[in-house]
Amino acid sequence: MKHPIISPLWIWAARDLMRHPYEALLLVLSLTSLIAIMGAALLLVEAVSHEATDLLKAGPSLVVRRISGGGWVPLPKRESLQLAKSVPGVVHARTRLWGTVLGPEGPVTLFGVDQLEGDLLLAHQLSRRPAAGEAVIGHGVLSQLNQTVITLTGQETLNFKIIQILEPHTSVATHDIVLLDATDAGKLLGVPDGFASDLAIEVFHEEEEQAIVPDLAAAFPWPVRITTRREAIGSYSAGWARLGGMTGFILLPALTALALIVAGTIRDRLGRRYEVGLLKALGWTSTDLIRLQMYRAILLAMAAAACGMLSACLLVFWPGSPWAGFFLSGWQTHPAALHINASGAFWVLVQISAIIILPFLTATLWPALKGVAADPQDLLQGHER
Amino acid sequence: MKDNVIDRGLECRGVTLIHEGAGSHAQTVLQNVSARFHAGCIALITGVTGAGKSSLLHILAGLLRPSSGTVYAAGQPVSRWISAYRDLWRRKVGMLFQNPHFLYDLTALENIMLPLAPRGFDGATVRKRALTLLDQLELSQLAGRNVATLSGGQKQRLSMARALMGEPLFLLADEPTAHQDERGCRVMLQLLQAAGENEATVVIAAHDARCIQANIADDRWLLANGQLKRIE
Amino acid sequence: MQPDKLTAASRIVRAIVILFVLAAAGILLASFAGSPQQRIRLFARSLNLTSPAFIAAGHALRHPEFLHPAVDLCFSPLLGNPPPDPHALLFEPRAPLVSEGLR
Repeated sequence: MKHPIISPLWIWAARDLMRHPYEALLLVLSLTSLIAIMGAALLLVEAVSHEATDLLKAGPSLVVRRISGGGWVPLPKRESLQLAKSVPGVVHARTRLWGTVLGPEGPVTLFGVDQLEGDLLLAHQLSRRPAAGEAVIGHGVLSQLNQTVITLTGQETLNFKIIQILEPHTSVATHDIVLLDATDAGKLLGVPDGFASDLAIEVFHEEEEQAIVPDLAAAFPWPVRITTRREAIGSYSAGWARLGGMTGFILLPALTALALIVAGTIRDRLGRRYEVGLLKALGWTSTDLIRLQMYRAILLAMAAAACGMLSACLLVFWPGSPWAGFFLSGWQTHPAALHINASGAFWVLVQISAIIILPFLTATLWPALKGVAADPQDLLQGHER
Repeated sequence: MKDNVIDRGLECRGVTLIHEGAGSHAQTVLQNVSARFHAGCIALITGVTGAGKSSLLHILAGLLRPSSGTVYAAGQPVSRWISAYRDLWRRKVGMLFQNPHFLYDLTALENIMLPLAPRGFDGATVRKRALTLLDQLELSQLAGRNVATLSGGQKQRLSMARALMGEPLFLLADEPTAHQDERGCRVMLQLLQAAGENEATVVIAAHDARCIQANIADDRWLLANGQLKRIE
Repeated sequence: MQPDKLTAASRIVRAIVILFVLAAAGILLASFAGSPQQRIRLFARSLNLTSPAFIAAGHALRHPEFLHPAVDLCFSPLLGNPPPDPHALLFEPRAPLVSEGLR
């Protein structure tokens, strides 16, 4: 007789599922929902933390801010740049003019673009640098993206003509940003000409970030607060960890549902003594019986994992998916888009396997192991028709 | 008797079976039973209802372990083997139950394909063999029917087809002609005879007169009071 | 040819395997195709951005420095100008303040 490539037991396992189709369908739906809920929560935390870390790594090595007893004060551009560049190890320093002002639908991050920055931007994303009275806005600033004018309230209330909306794919960095001409930004933020919000500094080596801080602090004649990239990443990581903790509350009811599925599966499998006895009497070995049960469970788990993971990905990564914004809180408009990361998705799948699929397979395996050791006649006893 | 194939037969030595009843009540079903059933021969065990014929067949088929004594198959003490080896050995056994056991929500054809399902054979080949057997047992038209809808006689013939699916070396038939009409009875006996001619060890337990009078058995045994005696 | 229900079972097995492979491939492809990280990084670098925009502006998590208890770095002009520092008026500029975590 010919031997097929795929064991016919897989087909018999599927046939076994067809004997109780509604039960199998409900089981797949339950597992799919569990995987989708858990997967979405885990994927969200993973994606946010991965992309944030990635973005922060692209940011400046150090940010220097001038502070006083009352808080933040602007720093003089020219003097600060000279002082920063005089510190050995600093390879590049730029002043930034930015802050938070009130937009039409909530706070927005305002960024003043001067000539130099404008040139850089032109090379990447901007069609042109915003001139006086013009604005380039991020994808999440307005819920209605067909508006032509935006009103911003800071020290003054000013209207700006929208000349460009940044592409959604850059939203990880620019979602709530409004780019203005530097003079307009200064007016709104209350920063006088020749002053900046802070100083962005690049150092030669990543390892120097920490080492250069005391020298840099000493170079300025006023008190400064210096934030290293590592510190920023650390702060965000703490935030994502809190977010991860919040997902735990979502997982609790999901885990309760899983416990019910596992208990139901064990009870169902233990109730199939007659079948086990009959198949053993027909020459099925214990291994065959265990394989059949496992293949049956694997087919269910594969279907549920595929549907569940796809649903989870759609829930988290589908552009403008509103629940993620709601979950993270703070978005009045569209939440920022997230992107799938292969290693992250794989890691979430591993976690899902450990939390959901493994207990389900164990719930199938354990009764199978328990049943197959008995003599066939003992299993068939009392079931004669 | 065919001496050249004698070693491939079944043998039980000093087999005793005690059913543990409720409380302290224990019933001795078989007592020190010893017999040899040769390959290529048909053995017929007769006895009244409840004499223990089915229990003896179950012990010979490896479905039940005796309380004491040993069953040998082709000279090997199969009843003493561990479960995993007994499982493998059972593949060589075809068992026809007195009350046929089936998976009642599968079709007739699927049920008789079951013995070969885990053995890795191509599905089309298995199906072809199953259809041939159904044809021999005049059940072709019932292949796609649910087993639960079949009559007692049809189930018994289906059970015979399933027992023959794996081309067994040991065929054990418990009341094979029960619930059969004359034509069905003839077909069943012909298949049992054919199995014997193919060098299988065939053991039949029956108290149906048609089976006893058919005169197909090479050896005849009588089981009474837990004792098995050869009828010369 | 196999009996009907076994044929259907065989199709179910194939469908599940294909579904699983397609889902895995889809996620993998989306992870490569839909990841403009390099372009975002360039943009963030050109603007010298220090914080991701997953969270709306004004939210504490939006500004990592905001979490630091010693410094109020909410750059909102709506909060008004800070009062003058008496130390700066009376004394020579003091030694630079370095955050606790950096000492």
